[in-house]
Amino acid sequence: MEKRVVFRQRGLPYLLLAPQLAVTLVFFIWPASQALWQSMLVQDPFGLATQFVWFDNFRALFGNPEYTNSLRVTAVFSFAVAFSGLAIALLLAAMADFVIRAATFYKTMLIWPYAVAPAIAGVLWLFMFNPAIGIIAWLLGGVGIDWNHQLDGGQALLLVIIAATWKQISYNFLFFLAGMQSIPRSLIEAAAIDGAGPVKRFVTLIFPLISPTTFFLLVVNLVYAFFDTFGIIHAVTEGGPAQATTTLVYKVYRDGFIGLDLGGSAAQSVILMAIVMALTFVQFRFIERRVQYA
Amino acid sequence: MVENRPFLTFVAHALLILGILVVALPIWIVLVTSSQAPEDVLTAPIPMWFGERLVDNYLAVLGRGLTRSSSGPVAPMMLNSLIMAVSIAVGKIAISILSAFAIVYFRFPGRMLAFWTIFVTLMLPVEVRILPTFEVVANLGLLNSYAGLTIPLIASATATFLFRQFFMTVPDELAEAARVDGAGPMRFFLDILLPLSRTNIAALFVILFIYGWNQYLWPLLVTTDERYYTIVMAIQRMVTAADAEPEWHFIAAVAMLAMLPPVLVVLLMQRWFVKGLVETEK
Amino acid sequence: MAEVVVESLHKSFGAVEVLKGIDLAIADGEMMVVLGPSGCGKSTLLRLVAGLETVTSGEIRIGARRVNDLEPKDRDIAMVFQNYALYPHMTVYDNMAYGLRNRRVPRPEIERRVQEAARILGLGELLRRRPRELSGGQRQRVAMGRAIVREPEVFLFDEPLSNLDAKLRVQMRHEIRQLQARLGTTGIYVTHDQVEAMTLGDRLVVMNEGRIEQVGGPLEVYERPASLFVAGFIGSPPMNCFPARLGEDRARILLDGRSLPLAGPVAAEAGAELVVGVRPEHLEPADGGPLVLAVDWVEILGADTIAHGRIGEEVRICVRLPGATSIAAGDRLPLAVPPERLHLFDPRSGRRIDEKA
Repeated sequence: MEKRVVFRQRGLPYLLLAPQLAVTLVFFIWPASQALWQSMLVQDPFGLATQFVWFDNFRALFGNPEYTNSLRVTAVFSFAVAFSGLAIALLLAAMADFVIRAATFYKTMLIWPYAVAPAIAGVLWLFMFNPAIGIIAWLLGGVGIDWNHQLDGGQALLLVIIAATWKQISYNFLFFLAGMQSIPRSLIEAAAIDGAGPVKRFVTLIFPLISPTTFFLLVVNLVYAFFDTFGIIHAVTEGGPAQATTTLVYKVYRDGFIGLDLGGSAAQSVILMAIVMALTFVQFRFIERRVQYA
Repeated sequence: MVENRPFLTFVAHALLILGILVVALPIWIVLVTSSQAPEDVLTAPIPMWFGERLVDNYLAVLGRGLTRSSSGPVAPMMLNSLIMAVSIAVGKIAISILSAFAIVYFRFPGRMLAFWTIFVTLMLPVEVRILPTFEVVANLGLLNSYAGLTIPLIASATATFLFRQFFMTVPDELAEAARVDGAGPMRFFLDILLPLSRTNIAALFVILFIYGWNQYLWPLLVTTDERYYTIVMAIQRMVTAADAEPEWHFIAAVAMLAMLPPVLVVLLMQRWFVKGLVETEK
Repeated sequence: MAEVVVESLHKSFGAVEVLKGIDLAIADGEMMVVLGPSGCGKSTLLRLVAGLETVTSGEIRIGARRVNDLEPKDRDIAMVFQNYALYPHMTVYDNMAYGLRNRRVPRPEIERRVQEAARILGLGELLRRRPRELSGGQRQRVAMGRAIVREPEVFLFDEPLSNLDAKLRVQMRHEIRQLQARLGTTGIYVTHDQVEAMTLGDRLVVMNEGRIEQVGGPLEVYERPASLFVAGFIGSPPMNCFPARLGEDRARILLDGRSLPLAGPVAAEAGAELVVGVRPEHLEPADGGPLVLAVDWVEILGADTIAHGRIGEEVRICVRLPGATSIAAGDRLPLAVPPERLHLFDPRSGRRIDEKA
């Protein structure tokens, strides 16, 4: 789609674009190309000499059990967050859509966690699960479960998954509800007249019709779990214990910023870039069919 | 509801209320904790109702900071967060609306290149280019400065696309009428396009304010000087220190303060928030 | 005050030629209506005069000035758009004043002109309102007002009434006509509505596929359509057209063995193939009339009755009869045509065939 009307001034558009392009080039494109370049370099420990090594850094990464562990952690974490976040939000949205009249009220009550920073969401749940003062840790202790996420890697992973899911439910809920509410009422009524009860309607009509929303949200949730949860992990577990919660993004940060492994961190950045590009491509490839009745 | 199903309706309400409670539970716990005296929150079970130190605790963290761990007062941190959130929101909106205007209302060599350059930023979140971006900022001497906190984050493909999308829906005749009325491009932009974009700007502002306030990794990287700490990034140090020197009542108060502004923005500007959220994802 | 002259004007969008050589002279103070089906290039012609599109080749003059390369604002024109294009965030007053402010007209003068326009258009009460608080007719008036306050050399109207309901359209048509006549400003009015064209225009330009088919006064276009296209486009229901042959004396036509006299000999060869046109309202029931209509179906409209049917085997025509009649499907209705009401066209070129000079 193009505008029929255009202005004829020659220099003006470049002037208008200059700030955006300057920021993009200086802080996005240049660093990204640096990362690409550095991912093929090796620096000696004193930073005195660098050597071009092609894909050695990548080979080293995939041979490194810490990195493969981090891949595994990221996969478990992301899919757990995406799946539970979507499932809970879908259930709540279906209920809210069913009780039409009060939907707005429930919406207001459910959307605000979106505004909570990931790091703060982590801290909130830390309060619940802290071995010393956490109410849930205490309750679990009462039924014989010894909760200490500072020692137990599985429990630590579960904790960050809960915090990350909690924060994302509101977002998913909003989109699911919007998707459901954009299905024409007449369609639902026609199904009711055809003898389909509420549950059957959801399974055979509503869920298939919002499938584009679901797919879109799946991608968005994966992106969220990959990249936006750094704050949760950094604030709650710092990747531990024993790297049980070290996701790829957290590892890039630690290796590059704390460990100062230039080439290794750059190679990790490049892998992450490839992941975002793939996810962005998927998202834009299917974006038009996101909501059928929008 | 299409038909009357009392039992299902009951189940639906029950599940929704349960959902609300689960969502609200952590906030309640933290809010209550923030009102306690220190000795009441050393071990579980901690009180589930308000203590008497609500105001004291908040005044303490705002003005002095935590007592035992070495963190400064929270009020300046909140101010930093506010500066960062507003600068990022305003900056993103400003440069995006100008870019969108250029791309929609002009034809010039390099137009598509500019478009795709902006698009690429979508694929390069700060998380994937931590170290090189840090180096750029360091080389420019922007560490520990408001400029360093905000400028690298104000490029925005989504905001540009949103404005582009909106401009495409503005009738061509409006631009033509303005031309006939003697308005040049900047006149048209300021007198017609900008006022018409008000609702989009408001919606974007809400989303971007939250985005800016909630930044974590970036301030962590570019600030080492406590004067530039934001409240969201500073809380991590307090939590880490708390295992040795627990001051949970203060940390709870800081957590409440850290989420209050963005949550208020969402609740008070819900209409803009929903619009912004839905439209930036288009 | 100015005349508008268009000379061998061409306009292409990419490979598509939208205007294929337009020559037109509009006199000072004249209201010229440009009429044609959608896609005929009439809006493009208007937009070229306005300066909203660039000329591919040819020349446009307003008054004595060649305006091809002037910005719209420098052409001294004002335009009324189909969807009015009112600035939604400005009051009625500001909508009208905007163009004047951009021209740095002094404030008291703006005030005077806007008030004057508001008075003429009956908008006095509405000056503080915004467009969305106005009805369709009121918005239309504001759009007119925005044009009037500019006191331009030329008014350009781009189907300004097509978004109004039928009743309002009649009224606004009348108002536009009066206003333009009173101000004496040259006007170019684009429409696809022939009733609008007939009632508004001093003259009409009928366009088709990027060319001018005919230029003339409303009655001239109706009574002497220059081509088959104009004949079919003007009049409702459209003119009946059917093939026939010219008689040996070139003063009669032969149709299915019947013969219809013409007013006089015409400028075509004896025995030539022709297309005959006759308007539904010009066919008259007449006992023993030469054309016998086998009625298929009848539309009773109250004021008129329209009977559809066949003459012979092939030719489908319709007849418009005044008042309600008792004609019904299955009737056979003999019809006569006054010779001066027959139009002849060349079947190959589509052009009108005139009487012999």
